[in-house]
Amino acid sequence: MAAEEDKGLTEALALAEPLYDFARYLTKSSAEAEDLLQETFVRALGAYDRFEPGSNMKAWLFRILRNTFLDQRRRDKKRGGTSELAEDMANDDELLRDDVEIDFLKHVVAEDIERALMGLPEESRLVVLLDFEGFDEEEIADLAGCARGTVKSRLSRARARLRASLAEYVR
Amino acid sequence: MTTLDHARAKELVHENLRGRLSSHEAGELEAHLASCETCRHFDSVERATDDVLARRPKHAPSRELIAKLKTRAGEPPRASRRRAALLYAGIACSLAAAAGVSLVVRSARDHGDPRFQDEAVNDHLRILYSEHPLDIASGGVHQVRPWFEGKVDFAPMDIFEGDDELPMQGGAVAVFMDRKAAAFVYKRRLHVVSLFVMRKEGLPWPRSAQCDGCTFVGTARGFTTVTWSEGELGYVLVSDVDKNELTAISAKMIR
Repeated sequence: MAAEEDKGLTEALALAEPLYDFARYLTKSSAEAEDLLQETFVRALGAYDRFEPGSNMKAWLFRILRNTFLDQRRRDKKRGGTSELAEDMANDDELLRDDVEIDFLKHVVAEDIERALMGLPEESRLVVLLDFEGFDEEEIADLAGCARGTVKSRLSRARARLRASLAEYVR
Repeated sequence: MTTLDHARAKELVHENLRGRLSSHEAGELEAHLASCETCRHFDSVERATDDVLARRPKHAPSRELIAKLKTRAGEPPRASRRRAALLYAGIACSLAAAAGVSLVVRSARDHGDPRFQDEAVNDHLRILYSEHPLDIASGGVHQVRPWFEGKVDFAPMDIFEGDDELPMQGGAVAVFMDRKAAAFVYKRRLHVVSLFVMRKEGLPWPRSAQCDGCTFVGTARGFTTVTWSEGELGYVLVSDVDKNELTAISAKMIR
């Protein structure tokens, strides 16, 4: 393997943990997340000659993982598998009020946080996780395949919905 | 009230949490928040939401999966479990080697003293959840390090001053088991990284971190610790960033 590829592989492997965590939350299944990560690495290694040295390896790998996930979803759909319902947050305005309570958030446990995250629609879960991973609006728009303005509104609604779900759990 | 309107202030609140504001924008936002209760509450809501997300369960790939990923890239197939573990450790070493640091990652038999790992994580959590985690906010290492004079019975020398990717936030006096420690706090994106420096004599220091430049990498309750020593002083780095990332960070700090 060429030295440059070797270096790329080392860098990619250092990102295996956040990639797997992201895959696990996307797929909601450890087995599917493992498959997704392996397929991502296979694709990344196959396309490594198209990766520009010095550009953002993390964004590149997250994009490959996201595209791989979408391809798998499409295949599953053709086979008659189920997929999550399209996002419907039209009635979430109530969640965006300014006077939302937050004290309860200090007491929520990890298990409930995961349940609330997994309960978000797929596209909402995606933007929340990518934002928290440190990607900016432009990068998230690119990764999610939507407009920057959509990222902004989707993110604020998704975070509001997450808080609302957690509020229900602690009641 | 400042010139910033509420809508713009709310946009800046989120960007501020991600560390993306210029000093001018951060100043404008700070002034607005000081005079606007609604936006101040919004800021608290956003911070509390980030705290929640930071506490979510983190899922790590198994060592077997990491070994498989390596295998796909041309490593010998059918790596044994032990070989897989070594490969995984090798990734961390190669990152550190790139920074010119010699590391010894823990052997399979050296799990360290669990009380030691627990104490490191507890001290880190005290910093995370304290209302006033820092005794001195950072104006840089040259301001923070002298502040410890008279507060701890050693001089924490050659402390990593931070950089753009890992800015120093400040320092505090911590208690590590039976003694005082100097805590230096850094930020890696949204993650807090704590470095505890103390006299190591008499502490159950991990075997593989006894020699100068050797490190012990451990995990406890979802946090990673990297431990090393230099002369009489011991260093423990703690964070919830992933193991490889923390190992790479430690490589910046070890002389």
